[in-house]
Amino acid sequence: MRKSSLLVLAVVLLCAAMLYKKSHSDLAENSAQDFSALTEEKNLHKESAKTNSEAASKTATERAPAAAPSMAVGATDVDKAKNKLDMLAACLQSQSCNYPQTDPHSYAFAVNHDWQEVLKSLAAYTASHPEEHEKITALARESMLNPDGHVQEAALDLFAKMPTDPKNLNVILTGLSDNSADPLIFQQASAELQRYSGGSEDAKVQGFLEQSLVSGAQYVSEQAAIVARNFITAKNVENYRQILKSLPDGSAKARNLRSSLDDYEQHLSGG
Amino acid sequence: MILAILSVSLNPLVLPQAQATADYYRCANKESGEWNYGRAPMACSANSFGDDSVIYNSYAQTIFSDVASRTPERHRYLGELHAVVRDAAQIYILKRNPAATRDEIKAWTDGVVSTAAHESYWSQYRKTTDGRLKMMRGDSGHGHGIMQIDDRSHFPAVSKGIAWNLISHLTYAMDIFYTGWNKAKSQSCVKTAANYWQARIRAAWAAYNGGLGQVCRWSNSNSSWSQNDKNFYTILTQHAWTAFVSDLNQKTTIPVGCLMENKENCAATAGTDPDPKIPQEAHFYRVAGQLCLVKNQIFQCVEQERDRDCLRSLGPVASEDVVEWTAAQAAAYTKHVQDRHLLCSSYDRILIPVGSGVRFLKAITLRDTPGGGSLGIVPVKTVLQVRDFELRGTTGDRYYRVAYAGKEGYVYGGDLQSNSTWLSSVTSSFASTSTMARVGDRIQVINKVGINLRDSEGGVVLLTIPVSALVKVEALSARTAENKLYYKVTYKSKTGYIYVGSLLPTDGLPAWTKVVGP
Repeated sequence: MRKSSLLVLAVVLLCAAMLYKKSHSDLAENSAQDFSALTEEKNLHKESAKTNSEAASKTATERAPAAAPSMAVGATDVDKAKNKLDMLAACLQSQSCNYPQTDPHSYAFAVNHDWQEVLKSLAAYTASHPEEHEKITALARESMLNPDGHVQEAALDLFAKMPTDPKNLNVILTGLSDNSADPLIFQQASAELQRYSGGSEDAKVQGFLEQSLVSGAQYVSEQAAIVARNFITAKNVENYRQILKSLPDGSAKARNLRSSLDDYEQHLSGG
Repeated sequence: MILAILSVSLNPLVLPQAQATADYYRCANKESGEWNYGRAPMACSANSFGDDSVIYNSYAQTIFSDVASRTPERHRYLGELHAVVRDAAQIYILKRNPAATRDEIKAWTDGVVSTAAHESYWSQYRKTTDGRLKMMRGDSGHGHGIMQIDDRSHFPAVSKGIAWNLISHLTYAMDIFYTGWNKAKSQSCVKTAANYWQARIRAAWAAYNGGLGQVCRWSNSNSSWSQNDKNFYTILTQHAWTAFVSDLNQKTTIPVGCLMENKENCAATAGTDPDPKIPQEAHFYRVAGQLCLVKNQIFQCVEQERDRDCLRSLGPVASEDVVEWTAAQAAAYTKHVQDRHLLCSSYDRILIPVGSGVRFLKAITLRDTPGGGSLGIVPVKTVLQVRDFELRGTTGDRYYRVAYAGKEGYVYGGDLQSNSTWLSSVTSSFASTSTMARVGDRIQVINKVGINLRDSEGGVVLLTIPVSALVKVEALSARTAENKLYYKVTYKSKTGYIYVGSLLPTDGLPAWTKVVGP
């Protein structure tokens, strides 16, 4: 390696070390402030911060860490993927694997990130191994029941690569109900739900959409009203008109649904 | 790790995957605080996620001033913020459950207010001694604002400015809180509890704090986070903030309900209604979601509140505050709904209309909403087409929606004085290609039944242009709040206007015609 390259590498490493040290010195400074004498209620919040740092130190020494599953993709094997997911599910349950616990969100975030990576590796594998579709679908179903949005995103991506199946739809609808505040997942899922609309499962799809529109989370209901344009048909347009009447005047979801209905009618009439 | 640090620091506007964001991601001018109401540490410049002017215009009374005398400022700040959070919680629960009982509304409100107290000591905006407007960032900078929306789990929302905008923040956070609230009611740790509502609040908070799987964490004294649950319980039962909030029923002029729907640009709500039966001349009224100016006892209205300034073209305005009226109160009076495009162009002669080209005279930030999170920078000399506009205030601040690099968003176009230094109006034929045709482009009809050629926008049908036909675009125009787009074309010797889809809430153009090029 040339001297100039070594010099660049050294500078880079030095910068990284300085950044790392700075962030940790800031945390140390904060901790010092946390524990200064204040009122009892202030101590409650400081105790929460203290708990966070104590839990973090416990992770390395006092816990019996389970080995984090290897994320090497390589030649992905569905059975290996299942093993990994089983371990990750156990980690979520036990909260005692070797993942960071620096705050209440960090552990689950890290576990679910690894979960998502396993599913992403399966996505590439799926197209070339149709004989494994049944097993992969089973993993996607299990994953969809994890309420984490990143895991569900990867699960929905797998479903999109598979044939439709009423069992898949049931799991998707259950998963969406558990992660009912996520407009991005709803938007992604709506593309998958479109595959079931107009068929034998249409009533379930329409029922879910209606519920999302009428009583769903604010951001989800706004999104539901936009995607509704892909689900309006001659058979159900009157139902959507009635739903529109029930929505609060001036609400974003009412505006969006009105636009979806108008779009449907305009397309039929030629604008 | 090194590459991640470098990539974030060298190109902060490149959005990484939904993975661990760096600690204190996009935290400029970081400053500490104190573990007390309004000033929880840390605070970072708010303008990393949105335009400061939005906060000053909409939320001025909820900014904690570090230069003011501390204790009186804390009292003032908490009185204002409590009113906003309380109203937001009460409006929200009735949206989700119109049949909610009084007990549920009270418990829900208590839960939201207590959560805000635990998560951040009710800290959102703070003007620090360096004169900068900052926002609270906790959990090594991952938690944003009063309800600590986490940028690892909610990166797109944070990037768009949802966590930065107070009411959007509360709404988004309550969407998440409600998921736990709803799940809690079926859990044995709630159903069998001696105090049902208290247990439900604790369960919803545990889910909010640790994830939906942790909904009964509070009932497990061996949990790693049991101390957090105990601390929350103390906050919930002692309501320490009442020492600072002298009037728990204090009203706010911040239009919470309007902002929950429209995100930005709602007028302040008037404190009182001068006369609930007779509308006041030259006053603004909010009626069934529309915004109206009363002229000669007629309600002159726009469909969306963001266009209210254009109503000034009809005459002077006596007060900027808006009186809330129901549809029943206004039923006895005549109402005219104005088209925003015709009204606003008559109000502001230099407004660049939808469909026209704009040349960028400087590099301008592209934002998700006019004042919200950055999506990127549009370089100088770029030429794009206008897809939407918004005028704000008597200064004539203008925003234009454009499509650039695969994204749609808003750019600031200056005000009445400075607009000529930001953007210039040019013929659309100079603009970059997009789903919208430019003057001179040929288009192919995609709509299955063809498209009607009309004598004016939405007027009488002259003939129907069949699917697959090719026509040349001679002009563009837009109508209605959805920005319905029309092309002026000639087909079989007849010249008229064809409808080609709406631009809002999303781009509907590709389903109508395909732009073939000049």
